[in-house]
Amino acid sequence: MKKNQLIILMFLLIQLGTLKAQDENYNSFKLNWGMGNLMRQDMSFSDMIYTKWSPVNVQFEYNRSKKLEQQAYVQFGMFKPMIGEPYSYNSFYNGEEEAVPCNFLILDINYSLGKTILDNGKWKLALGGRSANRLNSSNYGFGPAEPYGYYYSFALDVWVNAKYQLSEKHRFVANLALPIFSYNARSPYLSTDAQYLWDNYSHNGLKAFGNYIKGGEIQSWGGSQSVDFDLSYYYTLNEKWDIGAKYSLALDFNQVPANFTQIENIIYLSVNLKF
Amino acid sequence: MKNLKYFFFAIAVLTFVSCKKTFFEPEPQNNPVEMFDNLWSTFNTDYPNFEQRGVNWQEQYDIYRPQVNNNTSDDELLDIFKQMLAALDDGHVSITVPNADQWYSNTIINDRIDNDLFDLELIKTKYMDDNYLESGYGGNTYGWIGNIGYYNIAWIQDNFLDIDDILNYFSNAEGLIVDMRHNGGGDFTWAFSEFGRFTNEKRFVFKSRTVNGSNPGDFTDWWKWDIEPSGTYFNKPIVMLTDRYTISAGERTVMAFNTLPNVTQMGDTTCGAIATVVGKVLPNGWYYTLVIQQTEFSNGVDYEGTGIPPQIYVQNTSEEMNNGVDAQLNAALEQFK
Repeated sequence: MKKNQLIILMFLLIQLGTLKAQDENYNSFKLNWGMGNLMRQDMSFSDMIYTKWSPVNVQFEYNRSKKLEQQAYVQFGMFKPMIGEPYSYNSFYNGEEEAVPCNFLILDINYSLGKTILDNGKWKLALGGRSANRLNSSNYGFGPAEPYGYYYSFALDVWVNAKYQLSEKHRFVANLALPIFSYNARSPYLSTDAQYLWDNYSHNGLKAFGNYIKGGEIQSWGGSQSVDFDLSYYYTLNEKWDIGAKYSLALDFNQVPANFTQIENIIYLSVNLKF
Repeated sequence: MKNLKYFFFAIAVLTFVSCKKTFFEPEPQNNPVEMFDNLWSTFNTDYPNFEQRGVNWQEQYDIYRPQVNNNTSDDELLDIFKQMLAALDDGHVSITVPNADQWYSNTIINDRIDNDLFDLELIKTKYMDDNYLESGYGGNTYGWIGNIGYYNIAWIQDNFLDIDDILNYFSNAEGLIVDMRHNGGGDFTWAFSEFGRFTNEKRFVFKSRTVNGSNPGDFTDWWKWDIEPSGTYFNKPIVMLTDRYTISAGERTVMAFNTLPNVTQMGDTTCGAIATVVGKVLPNGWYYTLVIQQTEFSNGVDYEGTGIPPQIYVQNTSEEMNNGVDAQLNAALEQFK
């Protein structure tokens, strides 16, 4: 229960910061679409490294910037890696079947709040915190067995936001986030156990989702490590619109209950509306 | 700008070139020796039922590992895998390769031994006179044989959500035959969560523990599974039929029925592949399945390997089946006279 209270307190503090920032008046809304590469090795499921490029990477981002920097974004990615190629086989129980790829879904919902600590016209640097919420939802394609995997992470990060105005029309923005601690819920060792079956006993997806989260634990750098970095370039078209590109790198390592390693590289094309 | 170039270069080097070796654990390579070692090692650490199956896994390694080298062909390697895993005779252990029948370690399933001794079509036509109902996408088939209700459960999934309707349908029956023969399993929690009308009190069915580490004896705590009353109690006599193809979640459901005082299990012993199964993949895209759990029925017996024996053995024969006679079903009907 104490874990849950701590998480609620964390979110309340961030929301207070949001209210305080309402008097700022510079906003932008970005739509990013990109090509991404995912590499994942989750030893709870397989010792193979699953790798796949995917064009299904979309990010909606809202920024509010003046004395306080705020950034909220929702990111969705889908990857369908497979060891080998799809093929048919005959099952005694189901007749002809198809061995299909895995399906990895990644949803990030993040909110960052920072205070500007340097602003000299060219450089603007903000330091603050980020509520980083990542939901990894996976179906592993193992032919006749297709286990479901989850890895839900709710983290409080240190967040650094840097902006560099190269010229009137060109600028760069970078973000770096490192977790202070995170509340993580993962599939059990070897992907299933009695607790997992009990979590699904109601056969209600929402209840199962809640049960998975209840089974999580607070971890710090001893058991879970992650780094999120992105670098964007923007070209100013006019007062309202920018276009640009963004490189995003997400490293995610976890050791409980088994080693999990995930590296995500995405290159986005961006459209930025300022208002 | 010059510094930014170096920065981009550093990121590229870090993420695209070196990250695989730096960050990931070594993965097995696509060659016969590494694939053999990977499969054998996975069973060695994750499969908890060698004792129940009477198999010395190290001996299997000593027999088959020398037969594998880097010149071993795919067909030869597959044959070695099959020979090694056949010793387990486990209905949950299988190998899947492209464009072929899935291979099962259990001889009865793999060789379809006595597969013709159960025929639902015969029961539909000869015993229920083509007057029957189906639900759950074919998971449930039920109808009347005289004053006795007949209910075939083909698998254990959300077809159990219809159990209330089916028991209402048989509210005037003198008794019920639950036919679990050839039940292909599924997810036993569907059966347990919907089992309430069959019992008038909470009953302990079985306990299970799952491998949770790579050292011998690394298990979760035992987890107890119960059934609990819910809805109008169905208190009629029940005869449950089983055969050698009743497997997995089907067997756990048999366990649940066997805790009831009004149930008689007839037919043949179940498959004896009860514990939870998981899938794995080899570097060449072949799949295999293995068991990661131990189970123990409420009477303290682990039926993994042996199967759950009926209280009354009755065997069908091919000759009788060809003549339209299901001797096991006939014997079940006799129980109500």
